[in-house]
Amino acid sequence: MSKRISKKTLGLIVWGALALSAIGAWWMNQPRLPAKWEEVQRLPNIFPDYCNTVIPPNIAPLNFKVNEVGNDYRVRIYGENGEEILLSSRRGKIIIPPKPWRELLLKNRGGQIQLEVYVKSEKGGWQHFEPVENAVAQENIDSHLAYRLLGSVCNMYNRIGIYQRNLETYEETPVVVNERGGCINCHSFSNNDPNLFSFHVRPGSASAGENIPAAMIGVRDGRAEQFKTTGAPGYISWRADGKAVAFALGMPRQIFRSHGPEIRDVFDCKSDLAIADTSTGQASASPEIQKADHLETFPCWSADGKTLYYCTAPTQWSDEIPMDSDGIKNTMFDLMRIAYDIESDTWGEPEVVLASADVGKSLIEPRTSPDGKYLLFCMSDYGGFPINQESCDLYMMELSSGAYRRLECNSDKTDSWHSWSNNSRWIVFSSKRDNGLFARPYICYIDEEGREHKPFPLPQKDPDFYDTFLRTYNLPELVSGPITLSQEELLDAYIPPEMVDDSSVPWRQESTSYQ
Amino acid sequence: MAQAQKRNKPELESGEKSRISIGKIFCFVSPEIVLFSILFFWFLYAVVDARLIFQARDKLFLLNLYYFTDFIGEPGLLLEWVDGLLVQLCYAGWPGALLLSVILWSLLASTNHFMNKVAGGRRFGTWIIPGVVLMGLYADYYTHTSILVGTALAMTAANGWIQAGKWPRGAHFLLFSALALALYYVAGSEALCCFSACCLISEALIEKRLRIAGGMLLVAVLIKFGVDVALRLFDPATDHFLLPAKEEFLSTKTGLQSAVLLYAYFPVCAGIVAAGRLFAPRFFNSMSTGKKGLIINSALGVAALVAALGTGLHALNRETKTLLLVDYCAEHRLWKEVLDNAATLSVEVYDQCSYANHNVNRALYYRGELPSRMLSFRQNSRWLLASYNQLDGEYRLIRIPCDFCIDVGRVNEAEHLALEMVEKWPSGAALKRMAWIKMIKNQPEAAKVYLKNLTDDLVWRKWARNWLQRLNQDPSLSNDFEIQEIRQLMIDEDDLIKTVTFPDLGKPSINFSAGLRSQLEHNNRNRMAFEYLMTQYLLTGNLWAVASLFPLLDQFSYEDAPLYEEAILIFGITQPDAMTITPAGEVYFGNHQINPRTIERFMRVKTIVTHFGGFTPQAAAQTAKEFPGSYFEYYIGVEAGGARE
Repeated sequence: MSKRISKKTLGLIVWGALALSAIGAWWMNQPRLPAKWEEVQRLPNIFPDYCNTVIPPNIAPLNFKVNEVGNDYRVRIYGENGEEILLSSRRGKIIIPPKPWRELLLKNRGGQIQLEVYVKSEKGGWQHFEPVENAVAQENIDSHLAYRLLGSVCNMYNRIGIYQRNLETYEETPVVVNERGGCINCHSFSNNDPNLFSFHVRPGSASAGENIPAAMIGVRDGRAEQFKTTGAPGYISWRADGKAVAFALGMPRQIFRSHGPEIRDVFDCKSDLAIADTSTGQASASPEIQKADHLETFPCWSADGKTLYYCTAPTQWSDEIPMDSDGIKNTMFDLMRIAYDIESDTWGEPEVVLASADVGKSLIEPRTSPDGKYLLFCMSDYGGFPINQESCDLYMMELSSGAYRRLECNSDKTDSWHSWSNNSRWIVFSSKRDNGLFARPYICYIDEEGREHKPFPLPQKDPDFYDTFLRTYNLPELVSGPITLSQEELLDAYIPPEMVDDSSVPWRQESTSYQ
Repeated sequence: MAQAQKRNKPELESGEKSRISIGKIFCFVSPEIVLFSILFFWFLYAVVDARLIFQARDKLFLLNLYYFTDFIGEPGLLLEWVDGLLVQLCYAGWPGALLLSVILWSLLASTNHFMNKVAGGRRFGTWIIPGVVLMGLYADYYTHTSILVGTALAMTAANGWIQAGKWPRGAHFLLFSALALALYYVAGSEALCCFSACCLISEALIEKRLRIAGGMLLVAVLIKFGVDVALRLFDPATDHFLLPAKEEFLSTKTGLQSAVLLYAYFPVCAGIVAAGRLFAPRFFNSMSTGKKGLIINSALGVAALVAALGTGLHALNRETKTLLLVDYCAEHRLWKEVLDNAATLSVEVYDQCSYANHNVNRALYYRGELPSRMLSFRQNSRWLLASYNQLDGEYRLIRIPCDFCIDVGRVNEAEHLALEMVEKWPSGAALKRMAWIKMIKNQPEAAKVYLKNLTDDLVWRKWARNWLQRLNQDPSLSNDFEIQEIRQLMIDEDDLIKTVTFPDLGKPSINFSAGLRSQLEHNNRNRMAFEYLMTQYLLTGNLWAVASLFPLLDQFSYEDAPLYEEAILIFGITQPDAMTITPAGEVYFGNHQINPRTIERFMRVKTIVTHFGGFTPQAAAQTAKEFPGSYFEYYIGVEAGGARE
């Protein structure tokens, strides 16, 4: 009997000791701020740079890495309201738990959050850096971001796809990937609506010598269908009401620069614009936006859908003048607009919004804000493909006054492919500021006065993510929800060219000559 | 009790002991299989040269979580990960060969043990066919290790399952299910089929438990479809690197044949062994035991070794090996070895593989022999300058023209080529070149992206860490001699106007000769641009162009440049005014005095040509006999109606 009791007791002791050890270990592991420290009169060096920016209240945790030498790191994140978050790390990687982060942001919406960094130096003492202050905006950002991911490609490519990322978490899912070969690009949404959008698809492999016509796949009413266009319908813009799409029919070519930081350069041999009524499939185009001696591209509807903004440049080559690299460098686009009435299908007269001759730069990629107040566009040294030009910067024009300015959020590298949030308070753009080669999405707050604030990169779960990521983010577009159609549904909408009835599409015959 | 007896019957019949004995271990470590594995190691290490497996199949493999998670979204894809690791281990030669031999040993030993168990006694030689086939397969440098690893996993699992025959039935069934699940996820459907079929044969034919066998079949099918659906719904892959999925080896004829042959062999063999046990047990037992068995075993062992070695040596393509060796030496800048090995290649190889020519010319250039020995090797002007279009889809070889572009100072062209390679054939070598190019172009942040990836590459990690450290100390690398030297060769403004032609609405095309001319205009001390241009002109017989570049000759301080002098003397036949002869008999072209020995040879050639009545085939033959490897031989050969190259 006594033996049995002693066994029980022994068991209890063992289990009790184990439980105590576990509790002790947990308690010991709880991050605590150091009792003593030395003040460092500067901000901590953190990567990505999330210092002194404005963040959306619904953004995923901004995990980061402390790039200060040390062997123990403590971080305190707090605001005026809500519970503070204490974190510790041996290697400086700060992974913020999503739930407390979300609560902290929501409770400090419209206020500030602070981030205090403590680093234990190799000598053993703690250092405390000046607190990083970030404002939490009052307005949410759209919940999703759709972008194209691809390698830093030249002629050959492997896998290209359009992906969507939930900005409130880190979840990334493919929308459509070129698993059947070919290229997928130019996704465009109507009013940031994930149920009303289109993209361009070119099945097969051009590098393998397959000459397969491109097509535009549109999504509406919960299903995908091929729009009746041929050629290469790219740079698509949806009217906010979804009744029409404007697109460029270009003939892009690529050359490789023998000098300079960027080797690739893309230009259109020819380019015209057209509009398709999405309910009837009927096409329309003013001769003014299809001039033979001009390149017209980058259409963009105004917020009210009554005006089409676009870019145009005189073609530098003709039957008499051969194409050469100087011609490409002399191609300068003007920013234009033309009125259009969809009910009567009538066009107004084109007018110059901003002339390249006046600014000495090529003006491209106009995007109007959904509230109709601003026009965001790019200026680069020349040409119509800004992502490959270091000189490319973002500019914003107040549409009521026509006043424009270069945004402070630009870098010395390429900043382009911008998109507005549904509430016109956020912009996302592709920036090569980190390394000059791979574009990353940067998020920037635009306040009510139209002032931009310091941008920050799309947060990733692993702070080291961008260090080794060998792909580029192309055309980031803010979307108000997830795209729910499956990849199969999207790709199955492609109809092989021999099955398309040519007769119903007025611009088909013209565009086929471009192939 | 009766059931237990029945279940144990096969073991009792075979007289095996249930506990693990030294004899049993020895049986598993069969000496003939160990010997065979040692032979396989020697074959891989010494005959095939495992380093060349890396050279032929180098692809991106990073020892980190991101890379690993790219391989967990599809059944069987982990074999690709293992393949990547094995290929990297081949870089140093013996580690790869050793690991492959150990895997082969586990396959053969498992097969041997599994078949013995099915037979209820020893059965000799069941491992011989896969051994011989694999030896033959590994004579081909492009053999994918997934076949070896996949079959080894399948047979190890089958052996593990059959060895656990005494477990309770439920547990045994669960073991099968767990192994099938793991095997399908790791090694794919071929391995699952092989494993399941072997187990089913044992369960149905030997144990005669048809219901359980039926259950196992059902479980295997359910596992396949269940895992497929689960992975489709919850894809765990991060796609961080977006690597190409399965390599296309299995879609090749050789790959498919060998995969079918190997994976099918094991269940077929198990079936035959089981049938032998059921229908002719005495015959097979008499063949496997006693003195007779020993003799047969020894004979089979020797036959296996001889057959395997014969198959391996027969299957080994020596020209492929030499070609890869040339490439290996060029990659490691062992220029003398490049030329020594290249000298043994046949003319056909040069005609088919553009990169042989590329490597040879670079070796000649670096050894200072391009102006003298270039025509001692087969030349082809089409393949002289950079282009990846000529590589017939061998994208890994883009690094060869890429290296040439870097060395000659056309760094943007090199970047173009390296980017194509990163996209189509991602490998450590491709990332390394991108990092190097970005460092040359003074773009340290872009270089760091590639270098940080390479710190997890088993081959290039040391190199990458070293450069990362240097970049952190001096981002512009202004003190690095090699980088500074290349920077001096780089042009300082875009020369597209000279190098690119734009056909009407067509795709622009690059004239690389124009690029080299541009390099020389920028820096007339660019010896590589000079020699490659001269080579191009010599091979195309463009003597006017040779003459136009000839004045640059003296600034490179050649001790001897006979081919150029020979060409200029031929040029002087039609343009005598271009030559100056001094009263002392010295011959000058511009300020350059032609070497008297070259003049002597020229006079002899002149005599030959006069003797045979001009540029006739006879004159060409005589010149070739007397002056092999000279420009006289080349020029007269072409003029006499031979091919330009």
